[in-house]
Amino acid sequence: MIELSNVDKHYGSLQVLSNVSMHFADGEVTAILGPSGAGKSTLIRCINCLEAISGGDIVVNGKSVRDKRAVLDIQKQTSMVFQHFNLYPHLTALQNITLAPIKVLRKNKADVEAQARGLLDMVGLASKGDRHPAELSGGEQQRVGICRALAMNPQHLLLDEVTSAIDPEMTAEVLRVIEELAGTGTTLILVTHEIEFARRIADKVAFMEGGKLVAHSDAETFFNHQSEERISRFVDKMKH
Amino acid sequence: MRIDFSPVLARLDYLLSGLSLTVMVSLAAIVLSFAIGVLVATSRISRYRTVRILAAGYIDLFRNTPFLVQLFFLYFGLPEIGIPTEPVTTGILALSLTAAAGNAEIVRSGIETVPRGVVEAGRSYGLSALQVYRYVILPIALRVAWRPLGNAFVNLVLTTSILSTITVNDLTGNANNISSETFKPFEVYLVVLVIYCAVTFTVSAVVNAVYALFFARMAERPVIRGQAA
Repeated sequence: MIELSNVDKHYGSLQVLSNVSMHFADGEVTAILGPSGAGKSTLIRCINCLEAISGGDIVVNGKSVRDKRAVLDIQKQTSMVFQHFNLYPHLTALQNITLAPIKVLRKNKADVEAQARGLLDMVGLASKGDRHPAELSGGEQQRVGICRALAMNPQHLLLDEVTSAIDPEMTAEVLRVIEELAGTGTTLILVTHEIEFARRIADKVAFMEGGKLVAHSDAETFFNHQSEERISRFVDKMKH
Repeated sequence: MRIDFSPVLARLDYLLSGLSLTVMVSLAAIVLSFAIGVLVATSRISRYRTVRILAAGYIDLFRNTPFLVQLFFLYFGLPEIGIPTEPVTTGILALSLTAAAGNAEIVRSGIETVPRGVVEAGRSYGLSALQVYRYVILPIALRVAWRPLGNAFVNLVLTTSILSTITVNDLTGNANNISSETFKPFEVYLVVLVIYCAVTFTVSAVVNAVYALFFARMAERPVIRGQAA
């Protein structure tokens, strides 16, 4: 469970998050929508302790991101998938997936490799475990990125615009993988511009603008009974 | 003047014993200068200001003074303050210290090419700063740094010849002796030049083999021969 209360974040005088309070329940799929620069990515980066918050608090399973000793625990429970994949270029797909489980979770290498092969198989890359990232397409790299995050057995998966750096014809296979994860008990928080996809899999939708949380509701309410005209316009625009 | 290699060939064993010392000194200095170089490069980007300043000072000191003077300072200067010196070890030490300063800058330039996002990925999965450095930053940096480091290694091998000035009986040292014995500098030094060439070619070949073995597959965009503008 992730609880944000009055979260502020600024870089110098630039306010990127402003008094954001929200709650992510276990197993729930939340899509975070909003225009560029709204603070969506910063929000999930703060949950993952990649960025320090300037005010308020974020509590993940009872532990605060402000507590330095809790950072490792929080990072073990919240795995991130990045917009630009950020795979380790010097390691094979398999090694990319197994590095953190072996070094951070101190798991047995053979077990982790077996798990990693299973994950690669799940995303349709069973035969590509020994390829380096440079030898994979964008869509394939991102699926490896998802496997890498899943190998940590995280309770929460944070997906940061995971399809926006991929060729359109490759996005479907990545979205299919994410769709399969929805409803498996893992909490998904996805920052996305794929409105149709969000409509299909999200339980909750949050809308951010200018560092503020403008709306946070059931997906059904958000898409079908939207009272804010500004949001409706945004959603309409993004459909095309 | 008649060109005659026979006096040189007659002393080939002596010359080759010099070669073996050159190879030994080179290997020792390459390994040491690489290790110190990585250490200094790491210190150069340390989170502690004092460590960074010390590393930068070290690099500046060695890169802005002539090697010959450093060598003389260590070999002739240290005994004066009660530290006895011996030619071969002093030579290896001097070579390693000075080459390490250059290597540190090469490794640091490699570190600076490591994409921020990749480092972030490591952090985000809970790797400690040391683990991120050891398993992510350093291997990527070394790929970029490896070829320039290879050049530095070749340079280092060639610089070992200067150790003959502090009585090290390396290839050059022994060649000097043969030259003054036989009065055949043309033949002696021609043979020695060819031998140095063979040594440095071998070093380059090893450097390339290591690159092909460990680094080639992770290249983002493999450069295809003949495709340069």
